[in-house]
Amino acid sequence: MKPAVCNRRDFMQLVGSASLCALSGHTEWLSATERTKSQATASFAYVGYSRKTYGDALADRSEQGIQVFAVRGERWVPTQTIASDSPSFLTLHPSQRFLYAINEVDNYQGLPSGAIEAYAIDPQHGHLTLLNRQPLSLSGIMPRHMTVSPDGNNVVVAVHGGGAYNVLPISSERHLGRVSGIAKETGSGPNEEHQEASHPQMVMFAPVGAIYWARTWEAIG
Amino acid sequence: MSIETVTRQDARYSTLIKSRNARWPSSATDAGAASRIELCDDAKDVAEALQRTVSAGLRPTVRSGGHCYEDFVANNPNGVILDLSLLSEAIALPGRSGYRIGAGTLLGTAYTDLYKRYNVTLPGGSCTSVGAGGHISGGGYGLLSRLQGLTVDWLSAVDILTVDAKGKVTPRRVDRTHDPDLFRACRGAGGGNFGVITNYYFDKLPAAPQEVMTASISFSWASMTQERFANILNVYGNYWETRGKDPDTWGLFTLFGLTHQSSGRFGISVQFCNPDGTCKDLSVLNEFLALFKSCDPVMNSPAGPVTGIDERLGQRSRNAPQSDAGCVIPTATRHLWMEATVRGGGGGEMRAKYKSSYMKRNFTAAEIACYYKHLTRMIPGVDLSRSTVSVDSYGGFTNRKEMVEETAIPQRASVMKLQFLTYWTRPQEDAGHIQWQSDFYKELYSGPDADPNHKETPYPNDRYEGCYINYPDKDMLDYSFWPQLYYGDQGLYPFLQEVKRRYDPNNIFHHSMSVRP
Repeated sequence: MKPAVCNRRDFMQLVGSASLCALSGHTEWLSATERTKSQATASFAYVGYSRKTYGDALADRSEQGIQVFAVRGERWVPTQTIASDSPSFLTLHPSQRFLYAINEVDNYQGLPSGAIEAYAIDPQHGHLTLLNRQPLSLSGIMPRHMTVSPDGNNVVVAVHGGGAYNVLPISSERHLGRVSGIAKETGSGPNEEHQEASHPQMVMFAPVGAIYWARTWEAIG
Repeated sequence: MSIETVTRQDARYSTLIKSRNARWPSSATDAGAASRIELCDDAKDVAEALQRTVSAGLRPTVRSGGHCYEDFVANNPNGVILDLSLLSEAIALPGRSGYRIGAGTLLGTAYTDLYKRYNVTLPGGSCTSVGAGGHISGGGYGLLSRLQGLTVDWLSAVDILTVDAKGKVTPRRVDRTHDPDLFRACRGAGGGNFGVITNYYFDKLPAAPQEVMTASISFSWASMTQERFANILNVYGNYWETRGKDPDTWGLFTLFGLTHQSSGRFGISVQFCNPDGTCKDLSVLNEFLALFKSCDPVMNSPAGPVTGIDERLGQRSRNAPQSDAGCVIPTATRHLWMEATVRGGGGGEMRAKYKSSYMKRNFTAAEIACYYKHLTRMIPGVDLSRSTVSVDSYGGFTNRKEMVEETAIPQRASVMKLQFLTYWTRPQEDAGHIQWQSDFYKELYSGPDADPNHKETPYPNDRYEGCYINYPDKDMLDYSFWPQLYYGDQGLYPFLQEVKRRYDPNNIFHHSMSVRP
């Protein structure tokens, strides 16, 4: 099925597995004293895509990346596309000034792993600038979901293909550090095609801020 | 029996975390280093340690002798190394119905015990500190292979621990009638792929020879010309392509160390016996040695036993005496205690990089020119005196065609197997050595005889049979067809992937070049 890309609404309906981040009220970045009430609030939206789902079906190569839209009322105006390999899930840093994207791939720099990218968001136009990229753990292919800790200092990735979770630290400049924790999952279910082994789908933080799965290295023996 | 857990806080950690290649881990605090080493006494210990590891969500890698040529074991960030080096036993089964070799048994121990107790041997490798675990599962080639085949050709069964879909460790005894596909995969696909092998079983083993003759033919670089060099390689390669195929020559085995010019010499190590394991008739040996008389070799004193080439290259005196007269203040060198006390007892102190290829025919003129070019190439700041290409004779009994389907070693038509080795000591020298070897190899396999669709590699064709999985080389990951380089293109790799999916559905056992599920 070839998606029509005549307008934003059609694209969003078709690209069901694309990730969308909406960022509104850039005036929140201004300090309270600088806020102008009469200024119309602009918002930004970020759309990724999954190469696994759409492959080369995206007609316009310029859409193979993360697309940035300026949201003006009902209209979404594309303002930037930044190249990125299968960025199928996007999330914002709690500060709302940085965006993270997973690369849902099975090969990165010659090794079987996915990857994750950090971008800075320009407060004026919402444009993205790549800060850095990190590989996920070896055999950690096809990540699917991630979440940033409430304190903004770590990101946890659900590695769907590779059957694991990865933790990566976020520096004070909001760059991604190297993978600092790996938890390998095992397990199977009745569906032979999709449950022959463990394939984590998502990860989230419990309201108190602890990671919902707990694997401490000292738990052995 | 119990498991000895060595964590980062343990005084033994910095010794036991090391491999035989000083590159990995780069230090005890290397981010890629495992968080603990589980020393196991027996197969039951291994199963328990493996289960604890898997249940805790950690990655296990497995070590016996620690000689892995890549970082497959050592690069395991915060994971667990299952150390099987204490599973050391080479013993007959009741009623001499066969033999069992523990995965941690070093080859030197295996040869000694099997010989003393039973007068049998394994046709395995010449490096006595290599462990059975990795060596046998990746093929097990050695000086007696032309006469006796590969070690995996004799393998009858394997004890292996796999992890099922639910994460439960399952001990298995696999052979031709029990999990035969997994058994075949254990016969040469290489370690770290399907599970943890704890024991190897052999219904029969070949008789050990009584005596062998050794000889050494050396050539000096000082007086070498490209023409003489070409002549020497032609004589060598032609013998293995032709005369070396006759069964009366199968007791002859040679390693031709094409060492870089800066070492001063290059040469051939020879081991010989008659097929019956005696040295009563030396005519085949003398015929071979005579071929090189006209090549003007350097006169040597009688050669000692043929040792592993890395033992010869690597063991240079690091405490070379200062020059001459008067009282000299010696310099002291720091060592880990295990390494100072037991030679080969700790990790290696040299850094190394390796490549491999299989040759079905003699060298071509283009190849010879390439060898000469890179072996005489001087690179400022790069000491290549410990750099060589070991061209080892094979063929003979290793080339039984039925072994292609029975084992996971598909290369059964070659007459020579090559090991490219380069050694150095300091991390700053990494790039220079790796680049020299890479440039050499790529040019060697981009000539007129290389497969045009697979340039820079010895892709299987009428001259080459790819690469050897027990000399793994991560550079080959640059090519999408790397699995075919190691496993051929006749269906073995898809077979191994199927075995992988069935026996290791969670991909617990993986490294950079493991079978992709």
